[in-house]
Amino acid sequence: MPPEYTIGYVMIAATVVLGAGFIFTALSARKGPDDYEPIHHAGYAVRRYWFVGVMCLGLIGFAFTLPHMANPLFRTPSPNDATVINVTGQQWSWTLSTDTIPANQDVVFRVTSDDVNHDFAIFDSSGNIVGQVQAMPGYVNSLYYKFSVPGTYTIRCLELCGLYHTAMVSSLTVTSAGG
Amino acid sequence: MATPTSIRPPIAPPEWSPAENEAARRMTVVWVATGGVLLAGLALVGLLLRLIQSTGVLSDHWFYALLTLHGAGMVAVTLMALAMTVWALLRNELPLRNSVSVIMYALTLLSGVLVIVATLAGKFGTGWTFLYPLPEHPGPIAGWNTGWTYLYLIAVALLALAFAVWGFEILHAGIKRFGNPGRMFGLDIVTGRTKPGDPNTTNPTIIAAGVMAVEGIATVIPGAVVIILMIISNADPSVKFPALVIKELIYFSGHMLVNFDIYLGAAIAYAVLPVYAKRAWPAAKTLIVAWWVIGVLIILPYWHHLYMDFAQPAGLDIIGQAASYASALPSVVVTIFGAVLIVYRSGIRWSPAPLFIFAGFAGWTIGGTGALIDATPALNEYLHNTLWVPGHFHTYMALGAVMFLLGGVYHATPLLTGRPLSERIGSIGARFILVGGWIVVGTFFTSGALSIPRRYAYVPIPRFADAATVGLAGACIAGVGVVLIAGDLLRVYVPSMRSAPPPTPAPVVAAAEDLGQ
Repeated sequence: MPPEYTIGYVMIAATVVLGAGFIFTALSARKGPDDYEPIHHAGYAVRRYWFVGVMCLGLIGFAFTLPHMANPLFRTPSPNDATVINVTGQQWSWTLSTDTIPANQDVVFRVTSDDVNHDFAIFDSSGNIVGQVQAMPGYVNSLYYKFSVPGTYTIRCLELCGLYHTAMVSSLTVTSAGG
Repeated sequence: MATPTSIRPPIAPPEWSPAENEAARRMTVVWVATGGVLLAGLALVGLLLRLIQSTGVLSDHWFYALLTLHGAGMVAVTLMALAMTVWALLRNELPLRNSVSVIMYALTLLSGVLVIVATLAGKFGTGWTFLYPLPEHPGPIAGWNTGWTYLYLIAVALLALAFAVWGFEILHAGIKRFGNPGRMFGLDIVTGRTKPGDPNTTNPTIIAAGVMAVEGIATVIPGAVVIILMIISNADPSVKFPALVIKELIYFSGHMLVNFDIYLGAAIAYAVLPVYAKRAWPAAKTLIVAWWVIGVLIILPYWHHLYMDFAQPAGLDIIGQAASYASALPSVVVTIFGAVLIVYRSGIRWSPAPLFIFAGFAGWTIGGTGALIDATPALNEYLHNTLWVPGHFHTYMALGAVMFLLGGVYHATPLLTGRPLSERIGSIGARFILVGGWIVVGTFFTSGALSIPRRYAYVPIPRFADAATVGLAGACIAGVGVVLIAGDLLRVYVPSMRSAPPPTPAPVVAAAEDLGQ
């Protein structure tokens, strides 16, 4: 399952749980008014556990996701193994030094811009983002990726860059290893 | 050692003359009426954007101009409307000068006019974040003349100035009322010298407003720098500035401005929800410390907007993630949890004011969850600049901050105009807005999880079609609620601008009824 779908399901679950909590609380109000002092007292006792629980959730999420961030600091492959593709964005097209690469090969996209900010995003054949990086004038951002599935990938701009932003499309062909 | 007697005695709450009261009342009425009309209009512009994406009824040129108007307008109007609702709620506790309200109104109105002209007449279409150097570099087929860029930049500066003026006046009035900043921000309560809830101490609304005031003033400095640099560069495009540095400055200020909205909403909730739940929400030690923590942590998460700029040092990404997660703690553990306790088995009657406020807490919490997911660098790679982003910010802005605002307005209207807004229209309108609004944000989140880009005038991706149709339907449902409530707002407020019925505070009416009069 693409990571985006997993994220979507997590969000649905969170919305259902949190929404149910608010609806339950709103409906509970019909039963009152109860004396606030005992509720306040019990609430403060619960809040300590709530605080620890929320903090633990945050720490676990932080520790679990940190090693997977896209920044090159966490993803640098051996330079000898990587195929370098130079990418330049300009209003409103992409220029790639090559548009065909073999599968299962480490690739480094060295991305920049000739004019304004663009966002170099690679979509698989199903339309899911597999990786992205900003293309900023005056800077080179390196995006590392290894394509395991051969096929045609679509490149789109995800940073509003003027009137024909949506037309800034290109493609990348990933061939079977050795083929 | 300090003793209670060593504390400077509090200056009494302001006692306004009838003429001062009437002038302030009229000014607040003007603020509410203007804000209501603009918010409703901008919400309908949002509906139009969804219509363009679904049907292509207007050109790309119009789409980006309207997108910029909708974004900039909503940020500006929501911010100032929330700030002035807080102002109105605090006016009986702090000596807030009406002349300052007039100045802020003039600055805000001028800012709004400039944005409207730049976008509708000039088709300025960079999105509200005006990322450098796009405003001066519209491209080979230019969407706008760069002369309009000046108008937009000046409009942003005027808005930041208006909010800074608000901040200065809140601090000035707070320090005047309490004698020193420490007591305004609850230091005497935290150190145990004064008990929370004492009528002479600060309260949660004052503390929240005070923290936002400090941050608002702090935001003006980088904001002013970026505006000046961009004006220079627009005048002479051969003058180049580092794009990453400018982006940092824009997102520092932009992130702060949007965060002010939700925190000012919380300030309103502190004042309104207890009235209807009939339960106190004093400035307890934990709440005060939570706001001090927010005051520090609000500055740091903005780096999460630059995760995909790998030129930014990875250490800042890590700080951005840690600060984003940490900044949620005070809100989730103190304010949102506190609201749930206040409501739980309270017997509260769900009239529009508390209904909007409590709905705002749901929008804040769920929208915040979506924001935290996006603030995770490993996940941001899949969500950055997709419709997930408008998904989470519409949830905590439209279904969070604006709900707090409406709750505050429904609460304050009888005090301002002498008569309430229609409870029936408010309740029906709220249901339309909540049902339609949650459908809209649901389609945003779903589209984001399906990797649909944001800010696309036309989305050349077939699987977006269903989400666009459902989203449009949701926006139409919410639009009915917006029109109903805006109409009722004008019905009550417009006559109140022309004539001056003496305000009839609800407690006075209740007291009279108790006496059988």
